[in-house]
Amino acid sequence: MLPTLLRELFQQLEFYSSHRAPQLLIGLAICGFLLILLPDDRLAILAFLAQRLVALALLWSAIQVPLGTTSIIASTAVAVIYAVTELRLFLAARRKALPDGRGAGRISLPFGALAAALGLLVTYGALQTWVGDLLPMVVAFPAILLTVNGFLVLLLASNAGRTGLGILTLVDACRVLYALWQPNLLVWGLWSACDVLVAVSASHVHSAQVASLRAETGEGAT
Amino acid sequence: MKLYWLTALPLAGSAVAFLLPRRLRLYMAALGLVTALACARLALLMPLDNSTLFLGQQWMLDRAGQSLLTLIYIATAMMIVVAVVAEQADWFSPPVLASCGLLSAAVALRSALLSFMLLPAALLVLPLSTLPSSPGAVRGATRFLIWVALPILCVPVAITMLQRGALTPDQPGLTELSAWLVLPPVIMWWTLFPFDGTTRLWSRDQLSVTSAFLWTAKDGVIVYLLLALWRQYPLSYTRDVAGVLNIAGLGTAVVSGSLAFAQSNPSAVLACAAMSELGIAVQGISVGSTDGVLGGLFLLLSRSAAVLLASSALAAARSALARDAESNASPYRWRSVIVLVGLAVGVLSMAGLPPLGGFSARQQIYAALQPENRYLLLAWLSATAGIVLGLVRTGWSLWHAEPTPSSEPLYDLPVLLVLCLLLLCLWIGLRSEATARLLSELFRDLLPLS
Repeated sequence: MLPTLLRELFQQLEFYSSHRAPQLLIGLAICGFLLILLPDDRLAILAFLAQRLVALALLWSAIQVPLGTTSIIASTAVAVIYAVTELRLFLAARRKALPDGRGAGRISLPFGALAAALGLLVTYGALQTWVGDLLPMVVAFPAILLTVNGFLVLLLASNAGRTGLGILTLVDACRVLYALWQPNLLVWGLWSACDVLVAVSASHVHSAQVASLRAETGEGAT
Repeated sequence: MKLYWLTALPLAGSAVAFLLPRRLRLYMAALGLVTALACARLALLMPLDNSTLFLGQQWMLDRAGQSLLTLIYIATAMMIVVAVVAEQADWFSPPVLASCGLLSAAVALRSALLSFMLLPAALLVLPLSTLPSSPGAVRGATRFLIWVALPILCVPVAITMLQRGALTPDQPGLTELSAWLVLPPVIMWWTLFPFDGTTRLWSRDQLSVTSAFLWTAKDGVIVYLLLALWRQYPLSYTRDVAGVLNIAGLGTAVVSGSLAFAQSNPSAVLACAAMSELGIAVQGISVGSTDGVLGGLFLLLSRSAAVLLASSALAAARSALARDAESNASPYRWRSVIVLVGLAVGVLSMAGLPPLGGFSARQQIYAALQPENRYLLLAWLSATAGIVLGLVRTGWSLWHAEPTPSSEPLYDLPVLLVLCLLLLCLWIGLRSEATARLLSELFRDLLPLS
């Protein structure tokens, strides 16, 4: 059952990678826009995972099955880690009737929209001025967009979880370039393991941050 | 005994420690301590220069790698004891054991590419030891996560280019570019200037034993990997790259040292002193000559001992102050005096005051650097002045601090630990020539570069 499903998934990814590149590029831009725009962490995580999936589909014809499978496994692990952390924080906040610590440092929706629009503008400018001549569009656009979005997410991050998303977005940008450059399976695998470690550490630091905020606000209130 | 046990054993120990409930923190610490000491013994028993194949990769331990791993595991065992005293053992032991396992693999693997990819993996687990009670530690760990993870791209590109450059010597531009690409990861992983505030922030509110681990184990492994890379690909060591590394080291030494004056917590002064000392060690290593590299290694060794001493003194301060306050029979606060002397000797050794280890190592590095830097001494002196003033200011407040009782009575064991480390620090300083000779014997595989 599972091998059949995976085979079909790989065929679909191959098809999308070779025949639907323009649509995937638009999808990548939308996901990046949402990642910066959405103030809610849980929705931002969903936008990030969608962005990763689109980037993986775009790269599929360059990286093929072994590297792609490694990336799928690492992305699933990242998704599970972030989901479990958010669930734990949510349940702890509900059980103890404490503030969830989400409001601190969060950016407003109009500011997020402006920042995301700036990201698209910078990407377009960079493509038009120099990078467009050096690399094919299908590589240059995702690499620049992910780099710009990664830096924006890092700059606007209100907590360590968001910082982790920014780091992973930047790492994805690097991976787009490395995929073109005879990638080594062991290096790719170690890199994917580093992704998982970034997610684990960012989630832990985020939990510690929320615990510290609760100690300040929740206990102070009671 | 196969070499991969040096990786497998700490990773297994870490996994078991992670699974233990937090209330069993003494069992967790005991497990960590036994694992670290067993790994130190294992590293000493491993056959040297004996290549083995595992996971399709060549693994081999040379004398320098063996010495480094033994020192790392012994230092880790001491830090676990310090973490018990500081009541951080449950947060500290599991991630640090995992990090040690991955660092061992980075040292033992003969592939430069995989070693440099394993290093960030070993560092990325360390934010898991962040204490939730400290907002500064949370911010420091977040910054550390960024600086460790971001330069990963440069590594496969730079080392693959170095390998290609070695095969095609008619393209010197390729090697030069790859030499430059190695630089950002090294500077960011060392957290040199302008990233030097990371561990200072991590230790701003209270002593962070994880930062002590970073200053002892992590920095040593980066030096080992960088020197091994320069030896394997001599063209990657260029005058310009060494110059940039020298400037980053000098910036770290001066900025971190001077900022020590502005700190209000002794743990933050310790962080400033440790980073300042690292900057000077990097300056020595960047010279590339035998004297410079040996001076840098000596400084790193003396700094590790000083960091352990100052950390153990800070960890023991609370219980020492409390026990002195309890025992009204004696008018002398001897425990507090020993703890403060330990802290002062540790920090002053890092400030480079004679006759401590930091001074002897600085002399060696200065001799290697003197022809190139006229005002170097003034720059180092400004850092020393900042550290000394910061120590006086925070030491005074520590002496007059209100005693708070520890939740676990440890009697005078922490003070005994401080005394032992104090003797070690003084021995390194007073027997500096013997220590330098021992270092040149142990690390001769990595010398000279030019």
